[in-house]
Amino acid sequence: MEILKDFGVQPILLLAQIVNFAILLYLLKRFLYKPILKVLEERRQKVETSMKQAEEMQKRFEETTKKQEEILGAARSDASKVIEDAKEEAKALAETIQKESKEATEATIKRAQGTLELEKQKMIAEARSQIVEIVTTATEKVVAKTLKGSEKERLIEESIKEIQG
Amino acid sequence: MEVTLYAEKLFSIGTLPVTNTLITTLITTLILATFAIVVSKNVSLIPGKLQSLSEIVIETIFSTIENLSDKKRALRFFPIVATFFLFIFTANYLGLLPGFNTIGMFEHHEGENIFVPIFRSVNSDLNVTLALALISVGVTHFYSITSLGIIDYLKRYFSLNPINLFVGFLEIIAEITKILSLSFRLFGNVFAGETLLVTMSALFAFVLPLPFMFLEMIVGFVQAAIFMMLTLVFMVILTEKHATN
Repeated sequence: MEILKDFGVQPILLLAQIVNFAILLYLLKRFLYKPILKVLEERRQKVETSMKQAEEMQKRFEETTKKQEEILGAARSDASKVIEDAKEEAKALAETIQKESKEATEATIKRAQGTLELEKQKMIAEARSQIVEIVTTATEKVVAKTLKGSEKERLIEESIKEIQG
Repeated sequence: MEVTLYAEKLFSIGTLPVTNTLITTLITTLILATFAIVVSKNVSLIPGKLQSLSEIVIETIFSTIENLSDKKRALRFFPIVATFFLFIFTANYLGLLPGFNTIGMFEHHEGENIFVPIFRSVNSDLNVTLALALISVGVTHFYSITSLGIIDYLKRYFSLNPINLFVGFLEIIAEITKILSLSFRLFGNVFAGETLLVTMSALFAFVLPLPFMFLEMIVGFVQAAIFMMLTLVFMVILTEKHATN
């Protein structure tokens, strides 16, 4: 222990240093370590939560984009389907309309032809009766001078038959 | 002019002899405490300059401890380990300021005129370093007991197996050696630096001591780091639950 005396070690000074260090330890712990460590932890947590939030937002954004695309795709296929349907319908409609109109036209033409035929027949009949009359009168006038009564009648009848036949 | 091995007594209060290192110890404590209180006054999530500085230091030390042990033990060890570093570092750098070992008075002692400086680097007094080493080893053992339990703690030193008993005996000697090595390493380094600077200043006071000043700045940091790391490593080793055979 002689060597410790040479170095000036005294129990009371040793104790004073220990007490001093203890006080310093307490002060630093109370005023420096605790608040700083707390703030560091707080900041770490804040950063963590904001990172998490950012990640969540990114995830949600990706999900929304995906959903959007899905919806868009569905809408696009729906739209093309509707267009296709509409085209088909239009085609069918056009066909029926065409058919109907064709039929109508045909019917009209037929009717017109029918009337024309009827008129023609009528005209022919009329013309024939007129011709018969004219021929009768003409023949009467010509034949009256040359033929006798019974012959005359026969001739007229014959000619009428000829004309009619 | 030479540096004595012991810290010189300036005056005494009652039975307490007030040495020059005691005064510088108080100054160191005052500086650190003031810094701590100023920083604690406005701690916020967005740090100011002082807070950033303390955050860097504290975070570095904390992550060092965490890397060596775990979060739970880091929270326990941190205050004492960080205080060792801050105290020794501040004291060593304070000892480099002008006025240390130069401002003083001559005292008549045994017929000789002896120069007694008012300020002397804190760690060039064995009282201080021995106190630090005692605290370091004492707290280490306290942590060892509280985290292992008294039985596991004693198992390290005493055993019925003669070989383990001998190893335990060596362990006890190692614990005593720890106190000596911790205290004398720090004391020796700082005291040597002090002597070196005084001698150089005595040779030629201008410019010549400058390179040694830089050297002492490195030593001041390194010694603080060594004391901190050794304490930390001892704490980690003695609180480690080792496989009991």
